[in-house]
Amino acid sequence: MKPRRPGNGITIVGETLACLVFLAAGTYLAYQPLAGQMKSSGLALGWAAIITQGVALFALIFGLLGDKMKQNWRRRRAERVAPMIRERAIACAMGLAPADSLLRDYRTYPLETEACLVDSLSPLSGEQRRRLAAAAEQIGLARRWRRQLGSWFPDLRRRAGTYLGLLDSPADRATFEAMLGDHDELVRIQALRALARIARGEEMFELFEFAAGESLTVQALMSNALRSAAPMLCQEALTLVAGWKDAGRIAAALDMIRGWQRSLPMPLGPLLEHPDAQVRARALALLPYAAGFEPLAETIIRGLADPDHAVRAAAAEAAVPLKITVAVPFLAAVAREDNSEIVVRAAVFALARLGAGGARVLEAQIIHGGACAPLALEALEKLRLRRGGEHWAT
Amino acid sequence: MSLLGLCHAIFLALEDGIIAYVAVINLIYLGLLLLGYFVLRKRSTELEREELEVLAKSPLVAPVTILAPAYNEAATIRDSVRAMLALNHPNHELIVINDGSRDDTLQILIDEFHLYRSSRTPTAELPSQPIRAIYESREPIALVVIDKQNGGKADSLNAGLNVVRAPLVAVVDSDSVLESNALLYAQRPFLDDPSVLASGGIIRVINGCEVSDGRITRISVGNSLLAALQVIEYFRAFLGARVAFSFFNCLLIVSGAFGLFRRDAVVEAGGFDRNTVGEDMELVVRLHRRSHEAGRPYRIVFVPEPVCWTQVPERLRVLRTQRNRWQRGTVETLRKHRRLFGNPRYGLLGMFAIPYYAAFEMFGPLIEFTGYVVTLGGLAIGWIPPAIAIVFFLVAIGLGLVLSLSGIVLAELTTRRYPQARDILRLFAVSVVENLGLRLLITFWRVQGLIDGLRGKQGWGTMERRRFRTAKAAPP
Repeated sequence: MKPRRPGNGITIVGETLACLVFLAAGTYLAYQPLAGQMKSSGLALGWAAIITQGVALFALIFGLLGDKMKQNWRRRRAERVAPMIRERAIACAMGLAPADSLLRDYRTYPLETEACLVDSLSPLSGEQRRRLAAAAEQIGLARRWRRQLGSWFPDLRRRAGTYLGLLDSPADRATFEAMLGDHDELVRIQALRALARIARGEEMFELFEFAAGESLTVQALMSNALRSAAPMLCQEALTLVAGWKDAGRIAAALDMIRGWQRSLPMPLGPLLEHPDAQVRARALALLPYAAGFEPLAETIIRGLADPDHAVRAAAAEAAVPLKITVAVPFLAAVAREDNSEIVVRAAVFALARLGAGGARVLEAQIIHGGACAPLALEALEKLRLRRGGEHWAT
Repeated sequence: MSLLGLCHAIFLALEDGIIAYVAVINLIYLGLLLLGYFVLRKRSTELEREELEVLAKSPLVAPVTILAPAYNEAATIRDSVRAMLALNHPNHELIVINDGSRDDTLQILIDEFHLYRSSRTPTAELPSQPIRAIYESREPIALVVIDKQNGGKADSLNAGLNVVRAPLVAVVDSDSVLESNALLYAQRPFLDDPSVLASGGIIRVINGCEVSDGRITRISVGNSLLAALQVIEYFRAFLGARVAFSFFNCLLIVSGAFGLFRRDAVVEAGGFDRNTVGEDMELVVRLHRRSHEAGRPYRIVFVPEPVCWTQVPERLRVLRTQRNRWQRGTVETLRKHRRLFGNPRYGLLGMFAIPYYAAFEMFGPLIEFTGYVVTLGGLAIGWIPPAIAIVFFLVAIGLGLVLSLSGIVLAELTTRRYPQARDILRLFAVSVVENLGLRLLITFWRVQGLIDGLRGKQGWGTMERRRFRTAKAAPP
């Protein structure tokens, strides 16, 4: 989907230039009478600039102070009327009052009613949420939010998207899908989250696929939003993910799955054999969460011999939670001979945490002054202090 | 034309030149402030609490190591370390570098956080003074303390970089207080765009605020005139210029008080320059330069959300030392990278940012000061009528006032951190005082800094550290 609005950059430069032209015109108007009275035209121009900018500033300052007063007044009013409105909203949600009982409140106190309704909607679910959502629709709040989605200000669009998402209305699916084309990332996040709440089955996978092409912020947030669909996505979608052409997107999808930190059956086989190293490394990082995956030890040992250093490091790290003690001799070889500092560090810290066998290898390295002796000393020291070397192993 | 006539003509041309310079600088500042305003208005950046909580637990957010150099910070180190360890982030480590403190900074850290002498191995070999020992905490907290011989801030940061293992490093002054979500906000550009090399946040003045357990509990401008003056300066600098420069990807300063860097980029660039007092600016300019020369796409960004609260000088003597140092830092950096000046190969960096800093930040104070001297001299020898001289001073004061007020208005329109109208009114009053005399004093110090910088003077001078203000206990 393409952004609906022109790029922010052009708009921002345009607005700045427009303001400067406006100020220049004001300065010129002020300069005319001053030039006749002052000997120096430069100083007359200076005065004119001060007068123009001063007038603009004082208008802004008065506006700001007025706005502050208005906000204080609104806050006091909200404190006064909010309990009453919230009570009516709850009654509405419980089915004890008709939806239009909020209409009068909305007409008299629109902002307070909006705030109370949103506050009340968030913790509700099921029939109560549906009733209150219907009330928001009936009194015209939902219509207002849909209108605000067309605003030039991203904060307003995002807020409107958030609130509209609370209604869980499948009828708004098209609206949320259109929001996915917004150039503001946070607006897109709200759309994705709203869609995640109303999506079913295959639609979940579409959202997952969309999020995998977005930034890490979106991936992290969507990973959380799609947590409820984790079993379905792990079992069915991973097979589809393996077929994607973009390796970066596959890696992102695997990162999102790792974000769930849930032990689930995962068909990781094809991904562990993927030609792209970042995919293989991510698949190895998922191994500790892949319930029932076999053969674990063989996969780790093969990973330790991978030509890519990130894959070898991932294999070394995965060996620890899986307690693959048969990998100790292979890890020892990597620790002694690997030419990548990251891999050596991962192997040494893995050895320290793989029981007595691993610790003996490290002690031997220290005694014989091996290349990884300083790292081995650090790893054993952390082990002794029960820190497990979990910090910054790689 | 007689010699006297020629002198008079040169004098008048100089006077006109200075007026033209003041007009241009005003126009550029105003343009930057306006651009900053529109950039801030067009961005939706504040994450919701729920989103921040998700990010703060997500394994997808890369680890960050905070580097906090400390020199004679015994008064504040305990609170600062606690606050930095408690930041909202899924995976952050704190490395405090004790730069040969002569007070008991190190002992406080050892006692308070149960440190043991660690065998931690280095990951890089950047030049720094010898490390005496590395300590880590026995507690389950990610704290490392490096004890090294005194070598200055850049030297300490290099020593810290040598033991960092996380892909991102946050450089923080150990006397500063970060807001709890500051790290996450500063890291967001890195999550959104892998080409980001560095990000810097807003620095605010902590003097006058109340701090409890390393957290700001009450925000206020306070009673110190000098501190309030610096509040306005920080508004102007951060909300106008830095936002605008970041918009054009030619941000030259990521403040030394709080900035986030990609470790590999900094190490590859050779770390912090130990021969300059403006190590923060120098590194950023070097990162720009290397990326341009390598033809790599990159971004160095300013993020308006992460707020770092820092102590500013409340005594004229200390403020003078600080301003002298800042000016020398600018001079050293611009001299070192003079090849960039007006060089189209470096894009807007060479054609706009570097010339802007040279003309208005480096030589600006000298030109402004010359303007005052020339006007007073002209008045004394009768070449300038008193009425014109008065108008000149009023114009200079008026333009300064307009910019100060614009900074306050911009802060109020965008970030709104001071909750009380009283604080805003106080800042308005201080901006008048600033332009009636203090600015001239600061301009003079900056001229001295310029001369010292051109002469190659080194050294940091002294900086006072005070305990943070805490809320008064309620009467029994």
